[in-house]
Amino acid sequence: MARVVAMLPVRNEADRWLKSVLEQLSQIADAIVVYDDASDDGTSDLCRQYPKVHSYRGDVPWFGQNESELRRHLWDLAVLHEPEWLLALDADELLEDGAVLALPWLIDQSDYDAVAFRIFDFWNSAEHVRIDGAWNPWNRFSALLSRYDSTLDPAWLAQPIHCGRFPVSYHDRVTFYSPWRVRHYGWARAEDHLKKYLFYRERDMGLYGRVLEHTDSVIASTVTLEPWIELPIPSWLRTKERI
Amino acid sequence: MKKRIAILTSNHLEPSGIRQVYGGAERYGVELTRLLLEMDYDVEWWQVGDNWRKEIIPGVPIRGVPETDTPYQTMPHLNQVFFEQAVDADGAIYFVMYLAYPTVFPKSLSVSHGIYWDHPGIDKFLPGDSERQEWLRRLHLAIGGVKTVVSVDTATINWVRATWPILAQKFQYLPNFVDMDLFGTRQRQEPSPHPRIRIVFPRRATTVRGVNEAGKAALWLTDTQPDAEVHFVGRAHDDAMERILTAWASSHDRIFYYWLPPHLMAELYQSTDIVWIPTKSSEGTSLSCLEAMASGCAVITTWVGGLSDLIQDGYSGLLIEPTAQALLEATVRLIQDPMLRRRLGRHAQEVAETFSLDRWRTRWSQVITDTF
Repeated sequence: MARVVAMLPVRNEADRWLKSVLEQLSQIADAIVVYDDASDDGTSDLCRQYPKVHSYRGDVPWFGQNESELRRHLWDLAVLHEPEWLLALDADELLEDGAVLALPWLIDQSDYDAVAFRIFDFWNSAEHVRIDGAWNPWNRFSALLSRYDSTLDPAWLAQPIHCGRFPVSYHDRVTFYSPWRVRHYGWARAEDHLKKYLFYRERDMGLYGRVLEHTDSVIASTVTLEPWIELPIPSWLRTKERI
Repeated sequence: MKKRIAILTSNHLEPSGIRQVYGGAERYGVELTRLLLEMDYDVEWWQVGDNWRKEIIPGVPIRGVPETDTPYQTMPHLNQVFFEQAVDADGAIYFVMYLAYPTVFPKSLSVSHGIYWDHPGIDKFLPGDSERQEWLRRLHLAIGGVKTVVSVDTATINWVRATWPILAQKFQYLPNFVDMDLFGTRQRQEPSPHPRIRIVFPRRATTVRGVNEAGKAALWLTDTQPDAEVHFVGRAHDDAMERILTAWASSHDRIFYYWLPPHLMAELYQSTDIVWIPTKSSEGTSLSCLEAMASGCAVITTWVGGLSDLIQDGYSGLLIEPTAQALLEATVRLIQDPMLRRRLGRHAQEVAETFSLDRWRTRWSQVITDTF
């Protein structure tokens, strides 16, 4: 039985943040289950360099067409490792250092079944985060860590995008809302924005028949940023043995 | 067939159903739920919320009722919806004393978590004599309607005794608890293995808990005491305030801001020297205070609400007026006198045993059996 199993969907991540993500996950997870969504760059080779990675490669890309099927497949592979907890991060997300240190402490209890984190979107750099409108990271938490329960229904929200990181039955669990944060670098490169905007615009039209306000805000002429706040780590957090 | 107990509270979760606030009353609710389950009752919770249904602990439902009105510091509409919709229940616990107005289940009790009408803002909600009289009338009915009121402190009971002597008989003094297995069993390392004096404010970061006084004292202290560090450990009342506190703490050397689930507070207290409980109002017998005591920390607190039920000044802690200056002076005294610090901590640990969770559970079991 594994204490923590990380689930990671990837597609063409070799020259992005995957290396940093795999290095971090290698510290905190017993197994890292990667579903490689038909990458055609060096993603597979990179994954092979990390001994905890169990990588499975699909032949036809699902992301953007049928994300729930991708997530369901990843889930089925991850639970084969008999996890106690499942950590659902993306290939451009890193827990802040305090969260890495706190994680073994946070799961060592029976009071709650999920841990939520605030996700901060770095914008045009690795120094500033976006805080206007629905980008405001301070008022939204995401449950990224959840205790596995084999009795819960494993059905996923059937949507081509935005289907969540866990099956529907995991969405409303007793949750600890953590003070630690996740750094999301998906928007850190300005040159990616237009491509990503067009991607989400097309999916919005297919799913909702209109472009969501949040999608349009990707190309807004003015955005509000604030510096990422570096937080010193309390020394007592460093005393817990790593997993 | 199992008996079912319905529990009505105002806000265990925030009305949005999203934000969980780990205050003492919320943890009290969780422990009470566990006890009822062990006594083989079914339990369901009700509170203010937008018709959602969630879980308070795994497997125990909590329902949100969209009734937010608080006329005269009571919630009669929430009370009515609960009375009608929880009709299958065999008995009710009104988790806040005023929620037992205007109707109560035949078998019911309520809980007082301490005097809250000492809040300086109470005049805003009860601005004149007539409003105050109507609030008192409703509170009188709420207390009179239930079979028993469990009070976490003596201050509330004595206020009732002075106000409506006959109603004092309704009350049972059942002070808050501390899990000695979690907080009281580990030996502290003496002298402390870490080089700094660690001070912890283990409360919600709100005005009634004295966060502003603590913030001011923290700035003075870290300015003048190079070995002192201050940890603010508790959520604020909203996300914007958490952002402000995060930024504030990060801009000051040796000031930290975060929060922890209850089980990790025990870990933190093991390496904590001094704990601040600088409450200004609305306090019962603080769980944080008891946990710090059980962990052998030197506690500085105030003579507000039920805190003087826990701390005897100069023996098991220090009692002060809730001002930044008094907090600073008491802290400096403890920094300069490590013997006093350790003695207060040792005595506090002994006293905390009389507030053990085991004892609380035994006494609550009796109340539950007698009521339901």
